[in-house]
Amino acid sequence: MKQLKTVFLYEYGNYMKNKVFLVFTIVVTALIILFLSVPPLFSDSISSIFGSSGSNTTAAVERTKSLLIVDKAGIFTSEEEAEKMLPEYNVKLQTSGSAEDAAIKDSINNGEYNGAFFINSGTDYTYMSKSNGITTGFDSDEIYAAVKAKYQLSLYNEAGLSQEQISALMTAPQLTVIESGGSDFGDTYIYTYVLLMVLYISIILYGQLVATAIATEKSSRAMELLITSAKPNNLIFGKILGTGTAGLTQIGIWLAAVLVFYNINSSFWSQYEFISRIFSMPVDIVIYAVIFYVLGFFIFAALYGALGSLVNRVEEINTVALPVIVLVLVGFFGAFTAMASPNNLVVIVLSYIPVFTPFIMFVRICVTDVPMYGIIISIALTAISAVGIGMLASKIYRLGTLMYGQRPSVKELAKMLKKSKSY
Amino acid sequence: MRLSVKDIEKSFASKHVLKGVSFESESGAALGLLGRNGAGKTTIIRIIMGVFPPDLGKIEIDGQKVSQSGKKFGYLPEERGLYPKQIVLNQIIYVGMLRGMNRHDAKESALRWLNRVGMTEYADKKLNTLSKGNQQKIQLAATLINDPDIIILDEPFSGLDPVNAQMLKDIVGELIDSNKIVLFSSHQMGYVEQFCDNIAMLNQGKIVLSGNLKEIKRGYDRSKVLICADIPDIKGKLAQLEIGGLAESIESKEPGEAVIKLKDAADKDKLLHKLIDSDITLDKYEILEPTLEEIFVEKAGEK
Repeated sequence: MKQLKTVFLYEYGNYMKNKVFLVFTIVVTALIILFLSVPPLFSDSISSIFGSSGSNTTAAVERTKSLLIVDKAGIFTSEEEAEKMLPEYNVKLQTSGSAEDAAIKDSINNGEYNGAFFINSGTDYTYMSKSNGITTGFDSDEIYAAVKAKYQLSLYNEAGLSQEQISALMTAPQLTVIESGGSDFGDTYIYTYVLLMVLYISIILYGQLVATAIATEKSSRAMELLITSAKPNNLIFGKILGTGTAGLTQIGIWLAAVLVFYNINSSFWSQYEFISRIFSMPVDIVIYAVIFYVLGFFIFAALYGALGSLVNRVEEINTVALPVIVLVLVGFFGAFTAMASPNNLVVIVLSYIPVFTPFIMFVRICVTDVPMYGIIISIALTAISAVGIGMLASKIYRLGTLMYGQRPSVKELAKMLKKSKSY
Repeated sequence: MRLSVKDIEKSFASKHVLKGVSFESESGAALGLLGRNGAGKTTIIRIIMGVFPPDLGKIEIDGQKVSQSGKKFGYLPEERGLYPKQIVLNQIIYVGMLRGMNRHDAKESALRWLNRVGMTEYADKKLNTLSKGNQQKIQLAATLINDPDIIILDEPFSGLDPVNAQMLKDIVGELIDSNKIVLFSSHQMGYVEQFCDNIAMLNQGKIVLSGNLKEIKRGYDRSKVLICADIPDIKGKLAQLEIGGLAESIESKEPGEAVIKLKDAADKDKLLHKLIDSDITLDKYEILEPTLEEIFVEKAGEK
């Protein structure tokens, strides 16, 4: 135990002293802070991507786009009236012109206007813009909604309805979807997706670090001295735990930066539903995320550790890592299937297979009701196999000291492992 | 303290590496473990250190299993094994702690050994900034940090200049004097002859020769005598003496040197008397023993 602690502290300390590791941590932290703290700088692109739900409540939104409205139906009486409803736009209003008009086309192509909205009649609109990638759709939706509201308002006014009646008509009814099997799908989907990505990236990233560390030990022959000074189990588990804890520290720093700077700027960010939904994840999901992160990391780090013991040089890792990457990918994409149909039989079965549990069981917990005993069984199975794979990795590690030169075939390896069983 | 290696058998995959290896080593004397590349030296060392178990046979220290004896090992691997990109002192302390020392003792001992090998100034350098010989000395400090009872040195002299080799010799001498068991594996027979009272020679997974080096040498043919004198044509001069009855042959490869092969090894005194009675002024009269190198080539070269 003392030896395990020594290895753990040494490995962990090495990461904390490693310049590349530190610089990477700091740079990403800086990017997080920058992204969260300089919202005005990004506000334009963010609002066009995520769609703002209350832009006129904030001064941060400026009129950065220009729009030509060709109003043949006389819905708008002035440009100011239109701009009031379209807070991001400088509006030019004219009453004649068509989509075939070369002058209008040119003015859009040369960037004078971001788009032109033709109100052919109260119920027939055309929107024209230079192809602007993904944001075109958001723009047209926003303008469409504004024009439609203005048109409906004018109809209600003509019909002689009172202000109360009009506002009752114009207020969209609120729909709340409650799924008895879990929480709201929208929220769940977003944060599950985010957590899944974090899980996937960190398993690949830190697993690779374990493999690299062991392969480096082997190529520098540091292993020769280590293996005669300490028990291979302690060396492998210490290394996995050290790397895992370093990874958790790194992710912890990033998450802390995200939380702190999100909260500092929460008045700005809370208007973006997409972002605020991520931060609305329930505490129990966060706890499960940590549990499955630890298990997932451990099981894959052990596999990567075994691989690292098989190669002679760091460069060879990629050639042997394929099977592990395939396992990660199956788990990752299985998790997407699980998001859509968490109670599919195949998905349920996969969620109990240790290497896939961290991805698939986690997603199932997020999107559906998994009985507590199921969760406990899957966690126990994964934990036991993680330790088992770790022990196997330490055996391969010990055998690995002999295997310079040719990599052994699976058959040879199995034979050697069987022989060393008695030890 | 006595280290006994008894009937060790070991195979890997399809290769039978050790086929019943036995030898013994006592404290206060170094044992030279000799053998050609691939003879199984490193394998037997690893089995002694418990890196992996033998298929058959056992390793004992004073009749006890190694793990129960509580004896500490220090191993200097042939392939230098430390982290190239890490600080020298930290690594040595780490090795000490892995072997059960606490941080304070490990640091103290590390600094003492760094001082002993003259490497104090490199304590906070990265290992890969040091020359090969200096790295070798760092390695030695790591090997000895926990005051081991049994010291295994695999090719310790490779890469050392004569001054450093002398320092290593002094250290090994001290270890032997302080009653440690020293196992010494090397291809450089000259060093083995200087240190090792006993040898065990491995060939093709078997011990082909073991025991006290002096006794082994005495077991060899002692009928050749080397004579040196300041006479260019020494062979002709010797032929004039009446030693035909004693000598089987006389050869002279260098001027002033001749090797006389006696018909009977017991006649060496008679030959010496004849030479003294003659007018030859002798510079050297030596019974030629085979060098360890010659023994090695003879024994280990056998297929």
